[in-house]
Amino acid sequence: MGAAASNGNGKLSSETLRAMVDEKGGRLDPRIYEDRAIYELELERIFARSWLYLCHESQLTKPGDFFSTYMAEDPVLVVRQKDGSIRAFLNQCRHRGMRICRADGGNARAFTCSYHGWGYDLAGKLVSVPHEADGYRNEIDKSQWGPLQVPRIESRHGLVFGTWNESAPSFEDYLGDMRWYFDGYFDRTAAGTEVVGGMHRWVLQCNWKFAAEQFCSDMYHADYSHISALIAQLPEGVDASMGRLPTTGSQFSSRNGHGTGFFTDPGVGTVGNINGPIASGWYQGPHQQRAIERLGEPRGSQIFGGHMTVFPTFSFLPQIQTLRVWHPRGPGEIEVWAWALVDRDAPPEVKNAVRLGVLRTFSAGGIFEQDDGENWLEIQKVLRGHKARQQKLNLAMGLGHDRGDDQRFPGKINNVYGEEAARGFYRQWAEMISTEVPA
Amino acid sequence: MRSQRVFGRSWLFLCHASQLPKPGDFFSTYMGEDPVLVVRQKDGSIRAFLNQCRHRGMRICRADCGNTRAFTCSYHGWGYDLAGNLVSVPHEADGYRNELDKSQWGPLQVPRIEKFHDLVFGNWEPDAGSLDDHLGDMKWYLETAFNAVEGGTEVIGGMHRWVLKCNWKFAAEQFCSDMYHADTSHISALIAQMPESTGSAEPMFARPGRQFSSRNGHGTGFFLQGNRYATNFFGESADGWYAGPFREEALARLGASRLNAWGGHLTVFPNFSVLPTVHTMRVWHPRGPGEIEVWAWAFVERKAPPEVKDLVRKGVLRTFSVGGTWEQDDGENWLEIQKVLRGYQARRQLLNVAMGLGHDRSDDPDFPGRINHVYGEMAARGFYRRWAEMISSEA
Repeated sequence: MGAAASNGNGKLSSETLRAMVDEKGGRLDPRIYEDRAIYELELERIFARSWLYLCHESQLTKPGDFFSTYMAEDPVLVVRQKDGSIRAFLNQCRHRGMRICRADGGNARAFTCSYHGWGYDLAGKLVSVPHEADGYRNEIDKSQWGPLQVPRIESRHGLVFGTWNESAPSFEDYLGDMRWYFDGYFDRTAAGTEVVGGMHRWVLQCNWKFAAEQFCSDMYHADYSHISALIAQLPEGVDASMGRLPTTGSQFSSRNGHGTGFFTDPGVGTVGNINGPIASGWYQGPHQQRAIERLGEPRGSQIFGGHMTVFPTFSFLPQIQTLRVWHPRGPGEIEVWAWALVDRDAPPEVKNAVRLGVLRTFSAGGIFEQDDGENWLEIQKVLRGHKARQQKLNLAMGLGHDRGDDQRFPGKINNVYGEEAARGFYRQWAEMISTEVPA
Repeated sequence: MRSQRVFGRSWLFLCHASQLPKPGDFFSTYMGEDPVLVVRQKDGSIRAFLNQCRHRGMRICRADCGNTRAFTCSYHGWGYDLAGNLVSVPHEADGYRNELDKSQWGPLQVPRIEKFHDLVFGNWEPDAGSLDDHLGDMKWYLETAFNAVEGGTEVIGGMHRWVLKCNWKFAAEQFCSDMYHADTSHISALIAQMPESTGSAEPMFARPGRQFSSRNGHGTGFFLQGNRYATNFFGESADGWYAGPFREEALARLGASRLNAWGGHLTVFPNFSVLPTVHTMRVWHPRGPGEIEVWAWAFVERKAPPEVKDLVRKGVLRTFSVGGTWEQDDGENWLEIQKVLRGYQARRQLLNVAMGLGHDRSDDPDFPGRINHVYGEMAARGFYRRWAEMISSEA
């Protein structure tokens, strides 16, 4: 535990916590990445109050389909109901706390805890208790002993989110000014989207905010960290200078901590071809035409090669089509759960090309993914240092140059190479972590 | 280290007396997280002391067990006799100028060591009540396993040790109170070991039974069925002993009701557990809030025929040991619960420990003490009540 971040009583004051992010001065206290006490507060004050990504609706096509996932560290079961709705509940039997369902996903008529056999229906109601007559003398009120329900679940363009916070705003209001961009990425065709190729999961020894913030705000690293991967995937005979990224683009920062950045050059450079010619032929062809008709410009064809994070842990790379959650596992570890997202009505060869492209670039073994992981792991290792933890980090790129009157892009906008969205991300984090949960 | 309020003043299992037959025999074990050496003295008594050299804190003896005339710390060579007295110090003359009072620098002695039949227990608390008082109304049940026939028991086949990532109370409570999990968690193991002629798993879990809860946090539960004593766990061939000479003698010593207690589980608070019919006994050594070391032995009646002893040894190996079919089932549950408890919401849910609440009775004609249905949690409530009393009372 980072005793330095705590006062003598081991308690962190709201003032101390809020001061760790100085978004106005562009400075960041790195103890937010490694302090165990701060992490415990994150579980309570960030993750138990935010909208968290649960799954894609295409994972739950039929009644009884379920997916076993996490809301931060809490295991939850997400289940398609007989009426077509989706419910989610804590994957914890209330008898002795065992995981109710141990499968990653599947189709079930009911769930039976493997320890003592308590049985639950698809909605998470406790419906059968072995030895109810002789052991419990029929005195157990089963209606009182179901697992904790996720009280709010909403789906937008096939993406299912849940929150423990009963008084949370609607997911639409939670997106707020991010909605225009979110819809621009996920509502490009009437047919909708689906995930393909299963799920990839891996563990990284780093704090969740390195990953979430980078996908929120950081185009800056790409030209440097990923340059060898960018050059390596150029067609043979093409000059290595073609691997450089474009320079014209914008970054958006949401009042609610979300963010995205993208290029706006009219041409499409190397980044648009990252999944190969079959995929880019679709995304720059029929897909783009339909998006222009559906969304108009600039969302149809003038936003590309981007990154985005919905606060706190849901990220997506448009066109590259990798979608992921950064599940926190203590202050220094994450589980990445990642999927490839495709248009539901794309030809099979396009779906396959996207699947292979994501596998090659951004997945457990992807060449770009390796670059990112190395950076995050090394930062985390450096933060073992006593002095290293005391250094303020620089968060000032483009500070003071944001504007709200961009002709094409709504909301607070800055240069694509900037940290406007990172400042917004950490400001949101600081506001939430310094606000106590009412008793 | 709040756990010291429990482990620092409870009677903790040290070893089975058969592990230390001769003077100089020693066994290296733990009391909670504290390493201790248990040593048979020349006068036949048993002593135990902290396995920590007082010079720089090294483990005095690094062997698991053996026979020795003395112990020598492997760091600077301080030497101790069998009683834990510091008797030799290298460079005592030139380095220490003969100014070291060796009588003041021996390791901490375990002040209380007492036996119940062949089971040796120790307690760090000098003023603790006797082991006899601590076991109290549990003794009658413990005798079923350890005093059924003349000559008592011995441990065989060595010790099995393994590590599980779970809190010690999941294991201790389950062995104290939980027959309930067996016909769900162990059903596949049970079916797998049924004789070929048997069609299904019907025989075991449908039987009537009892659960007992001790005022001191101990507990046991068992089925009421006497004549297929060892079937399934050891194979039919052990019945010759258990349904024959063993039963005849035990009936005379213990009476009929205890002989009818079959397939049971028991825990002596806080962390010593036994399955009397299966013949496994074990300690759940705590290793922080989320880890335990299980140290387990097979025990058997000392006078049992050699072939029966071998059947018991193999039966325990097959069912309840590090690779046992039943043991796997238990470990999986405990590990998963512990993982789930990483969750913020998961930690805030109250769990249900209400099975059979209010239905205990103390007038059972066959079984003394507080009794409830074999499928119940009265003993779990007693276990956790004892834990709560100790953890909330300052040392």
